[in-house]
Formats: sequence, structure tokens, C-alpha cells
Amino acid sequence: MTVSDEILYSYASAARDLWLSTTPQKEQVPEHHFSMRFERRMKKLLREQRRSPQANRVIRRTRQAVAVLLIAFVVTFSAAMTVDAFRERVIKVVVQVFHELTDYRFTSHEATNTLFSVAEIGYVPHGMIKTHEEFMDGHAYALYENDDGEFFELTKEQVLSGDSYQMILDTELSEYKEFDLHGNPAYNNEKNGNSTILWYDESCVYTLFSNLSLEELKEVASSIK
Amino acid sequence: MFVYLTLIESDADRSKFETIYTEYKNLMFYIANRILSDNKDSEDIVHDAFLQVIEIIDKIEVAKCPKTRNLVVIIVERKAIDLYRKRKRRTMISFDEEMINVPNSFELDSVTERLSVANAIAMLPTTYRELLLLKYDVGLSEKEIAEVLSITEANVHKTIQRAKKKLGQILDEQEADN
Repeated sequence: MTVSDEILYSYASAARDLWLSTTPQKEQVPEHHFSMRFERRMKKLLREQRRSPQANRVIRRTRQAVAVLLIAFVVTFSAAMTVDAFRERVIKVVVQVFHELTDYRFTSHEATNTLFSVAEIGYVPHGMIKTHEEFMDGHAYALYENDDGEFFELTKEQVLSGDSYQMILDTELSEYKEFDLHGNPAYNNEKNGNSTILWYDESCVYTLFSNLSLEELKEVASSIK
Repeated sequence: MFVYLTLIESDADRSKFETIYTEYKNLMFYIANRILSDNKDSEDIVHDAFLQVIEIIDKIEVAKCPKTRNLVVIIVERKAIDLYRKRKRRTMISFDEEMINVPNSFELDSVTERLSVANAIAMLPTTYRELLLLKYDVGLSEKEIAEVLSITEANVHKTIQRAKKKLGQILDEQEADN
């Protein structure tokens, strides 16, 4: 028997319903408690998709520019520097500042022997307690809060060899500063009463986000090992 | 390595994507885990499947409908089977004719007449069923199917021809049995 397109168009929806009837209905599907890792990845994905179309266009153009810059950067430095010099800093950062946002891309081209661990915070402002934490697969997150609604959250992301980590901050009409932290540049952005400090060491990128004063947040950042 | 995420352009598509996420994430996990029997791998597959859904979000008209349910199930099923194959490295039978996640006839007998064309399509080997449904039910072009399933357009065309042939054989056999 020759099966024509007409036959297939006629029966495809019935076949689909039949096939789907062998899968459980929504209320019959066992509720799966997704892991923190999955929830985090999906939250990030949804957050990225919620940006405005205008921001998305800028980001797309930014990514293209960053890709070209990074390739040029790696080629230039690979050729010009000795292996020892190249190892001085495992993570490289490219910062692109735009009118509405700033794109930070951290890349690593060297394997590191550093074991990933939770960041130790030497200074926690008085009255603040840890209310939430996550730790898995090169990602650590901790949220500290007090009864007055003040908070700070610390994220530590490991950047593995050949990998990259991207952070995009909404920096439109915000106050932007750079300062030195543990010998590396730290980037600070203040907007709507919230501060972000972004910095890195030889294998990880750290982000502090808080409604504390910048001075206090810097103190927290400086105390992190 | 640069793996850039496709960004959804319109608010309507964004809302559609979020509805699909809340509506189908459990089902997608269930399908993946039925094939892989591994929670972590299944979650990774579900995440990858959502990245794929973003790629074709503009082709999805309604988030909550059987057609979309079928589409997300096929996407996650295909990704899970690909991973399953990588694990097993099976070479004994043709991938096209592999019977992974295919309902048995008893399941289908309970819901419909066994000897219908629809039943025969539903019981085809997984790859054949997926391709026929994506083309004739979801309405994707062969080029779009190739993108969704990460195979070549030529392969899609060839496999659809094989699926039709196989379906014809099954219907002939059913007719002979009667």
C-alpha cells in the first residue's frame, strides 16, 4: 500500500492523540523535585529571556563583538607572551560598556589545580544571618539577611579551562566605579539603591549584590577568601 | 567555546515559553527519565530541550494544546534517546527502527481499534513516528524538522520516505490478517 500525504495529514492528529494517550496526563505525572542545579539553570534561562527586545538586540551585537575581540585577544596573547607569563592570570576578562548595560565575559584558557570550595566570608555585618545557600558543580551561592530587610548575596562561579562566564549588568543611568580588590580589578555598579561588586581571582568569579552601603559591601568583599 | 543562547524577541513568545516551562517540565522529565533512568541526565536533557524550544518558539501557536505537548515530548524524547544511544553504543539494529519508548500494542488496544492508520503511525519505531508527526501534525517543514532534531535535511527526507514505506507494509499486513 502506498501511503500518500493526504492519508498522513488526515490521520496524523489522531495518531498524535493516540500516542499522547500512552503518556500520563498532567495530573498523573509524578511531581519531580528538580535539583537546585536544574532550578538555577532554568531560572537563569528565564531571566535572560525576560530582558526587553531592545536589550536583547544590544546583547546580541555585544556578543558578536566580544567573540571577535576574544579571538583577537587570545591569538595576540598566545603569540606574544611566554607560557609563564600567560599563566600569571588564568582568567581573562573582557568588559564591554554600553548605554544600557555592561557585559563582562570571563574566560579561562589554563587548567587550574584549585579545588572549588565555598567562599569564606570573614566579615558579616552585625545582625545578618545566612538564610539560603547552594553549592554544586562549580557554583556557590549564599544569601544573608537581617530583620531590617537588608541583605547581601554572594555568588561564586568557577571558570574552567576553555569555558567562559558571562555577567550582564543593567548599568543604564547607574553609578559605575572600578577599584582594586586582592590585586585584581573589581567592578562596582550602583542602581536603585542596590550595589553590585564583581571581581575574580585565579579561577573564580565573585558577585556580591546588596542593598547595603558600598563601604560596608566593600568590607564584606575584602574579607572573602 | 561560544555557545550563544537564542533570545526570544517578543513578549508573547516569552509568555508562551514560560507557560510551556511550567506546564510540561514534569512531563518532559518523566519522558526523559523513562528512557534514561537517571535523574541528573534527565534534568540535563530537559534543560537542553527547553533551549531547543526557544529556537522554535515562534512556530508554536498555542502553549497549552496537544500539538505543543506532542512537540515538547518529541524534542525531549529525541534528546534522551540520543544520549541513551551514546551510552549504549548499540550497533545491532538500525537507529531508524529502534523501538525505544514505543507503546506496546496492549496499551493502544485499550484506547482504539488496533487496525487503524492512526494506530499504525503511533506504533511505528520512534524515529519514524516522530518525523511523521512533526511533518504532518505539527506542520514543520523538513528543514525545520532537521533543525529541531539536529539531523540533516537529507536525512529527514530519506527517513520520512522509509517511514511511509514501513507504514504501508504494516497496513498491508493488517489488511492481509483481516
